[in-house]
Amino acid sequence: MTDDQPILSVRRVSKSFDGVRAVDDVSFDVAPAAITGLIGPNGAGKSTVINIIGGSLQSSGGSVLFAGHQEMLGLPPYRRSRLGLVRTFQRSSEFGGLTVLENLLVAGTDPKEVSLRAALVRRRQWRRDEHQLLDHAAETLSGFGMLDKANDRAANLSGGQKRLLELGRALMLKPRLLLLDEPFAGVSPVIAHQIEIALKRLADDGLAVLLVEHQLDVIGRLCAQVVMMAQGQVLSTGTMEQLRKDPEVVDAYLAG
Amino acid sequence: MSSAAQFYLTNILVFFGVDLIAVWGLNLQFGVTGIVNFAFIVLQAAGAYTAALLTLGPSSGNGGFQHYFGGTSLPFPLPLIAAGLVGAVLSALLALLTRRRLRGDYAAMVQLVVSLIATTVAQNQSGFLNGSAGLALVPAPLQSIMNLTPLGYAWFYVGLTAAVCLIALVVVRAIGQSPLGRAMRASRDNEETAASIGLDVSRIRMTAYVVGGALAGISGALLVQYIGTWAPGAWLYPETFVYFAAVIVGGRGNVLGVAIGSLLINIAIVEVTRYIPQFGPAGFIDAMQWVVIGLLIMAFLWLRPRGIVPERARRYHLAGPAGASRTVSQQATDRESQTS
Repeated sequence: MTDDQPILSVRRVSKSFDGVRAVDDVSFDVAPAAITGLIGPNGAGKSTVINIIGGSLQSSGGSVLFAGHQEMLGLPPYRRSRLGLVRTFQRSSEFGGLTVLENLLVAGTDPKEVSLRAALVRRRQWRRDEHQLLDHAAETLSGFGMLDKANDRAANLSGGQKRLLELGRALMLKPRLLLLDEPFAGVSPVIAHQIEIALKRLADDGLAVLLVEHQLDVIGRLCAQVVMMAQGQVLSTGTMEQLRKDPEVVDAYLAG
Repeated sequence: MSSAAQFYLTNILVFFGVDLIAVWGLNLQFGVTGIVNFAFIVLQAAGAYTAALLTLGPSSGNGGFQHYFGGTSLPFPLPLIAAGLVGAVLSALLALLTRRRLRGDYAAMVQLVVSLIATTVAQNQSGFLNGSAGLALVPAPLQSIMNLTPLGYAWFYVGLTAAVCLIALVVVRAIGQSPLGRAMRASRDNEETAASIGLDVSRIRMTAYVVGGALAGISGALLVQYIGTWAPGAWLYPETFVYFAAVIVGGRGNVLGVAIGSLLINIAIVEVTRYIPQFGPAGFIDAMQWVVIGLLIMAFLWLRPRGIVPERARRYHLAGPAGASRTVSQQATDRESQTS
């Protein structure tokens, strides 16, 4: 795979709900080591596209190629995540009964150790791996300034802290592509700024991100490439600057 | 202690041990993994029937007063082990029955129906498990070769039950502390997110079904080999809710909590009401037990939904990684103070 080859290629993906076409023949690419924006008015089909890529919705056709060769459609969500395609959700999705730290550990654990055999007979092995995992989790928490919250129940976090936790939990999986569904929604400016800095640094370090977001100033600062959707279709693709000048885009979204 | 008192005590201890094993099994399913299995009592019943059928001699014995299949006179502990296996397999079938397109409340309804069907079949198929009269004269394990007094044997059985309880405790604690237990709690809290972080939720839930089913089956076997009889009346569907009450009142997901819940619901309520002088219509106090259990479930769900001893998350001491003294948020504040 060369550097400029897309990490994700969405081709001719469609989805209907009770005869209404929510996503209609959508195609776009996500570049490696960069943040790609996915914007559009409410009901444009952005979340549906994210759900199809992540696997919680079935597409009625098309193809989603990951890392140049791996077809994602048809794989259950957990398999996609293990391959490095990790998503977050629009609504808060913490494991409320687990501590903040456990939320990270449960994501970082090797799937082979999540078994009855590991629990009952191969205890030494997962206990040893747990040490490394703890270091990694502590580093992640510390990066978000949440180390002091490590042993708090995740249900007791504020909305913004839950967003940070979700991002940290996704990073524990060492993803190759991160799908973020409105990570800035309902977040205080301070935490929004934290998330923005983290995303920028992650992309610089080589992570690909597909970012669904309504705040166009954030998109403008973060995204080299932006995909604009309206009424289930891709209306336009380009930099945020280019999109701002596209009369069709302005008509559908920006003029609002 | 008088021997009557000792008999009373041994009975209570064995019943408590049986209930503990079952409650730990249900806690693994409902408390830890969030599976609402309303057919749980069927698993305990299946274990009891399995142990009975494997311990009893052929149906033609005893003057042919009871009719059943099997009757293989297997020695201890084979019937106990077989009961665990049957509970596990049956539980796996329950899981498969409700795996696709049946989540949460719908799955629970299907399992409630399974429980009703199982009772109806057992009651009406007279050559299968001797119908509604049930099985009797189930031999007690090792009693014929031990030459103990009845009281001595009762204490032996208390020890046997305690040993099985201890094994069950070791298993449920090992699971609870392991990555599997953590993943079970994560799939309980948010199934869709659990899948998004690479957890195979179906497999995790299946594991909870199987281990919980095995524990239920073993508890049934221990019970039937002690009391010697087993009939459909012992495992009507409301018995499932008694175990649910123990888990809810004690504290979902907490091994100690559900043990306390079991002591209160399965043992204390029944034993205390023994000493209340009878009043009102016949059977009034027995019927009131159900009312009390129902009220306790409601009261706890309203007032203390996490139970008497709530689930406790494992706490870790984190030193923080070396060199990570400056956090992203500090950098953010630095930048803000520069720009202002």
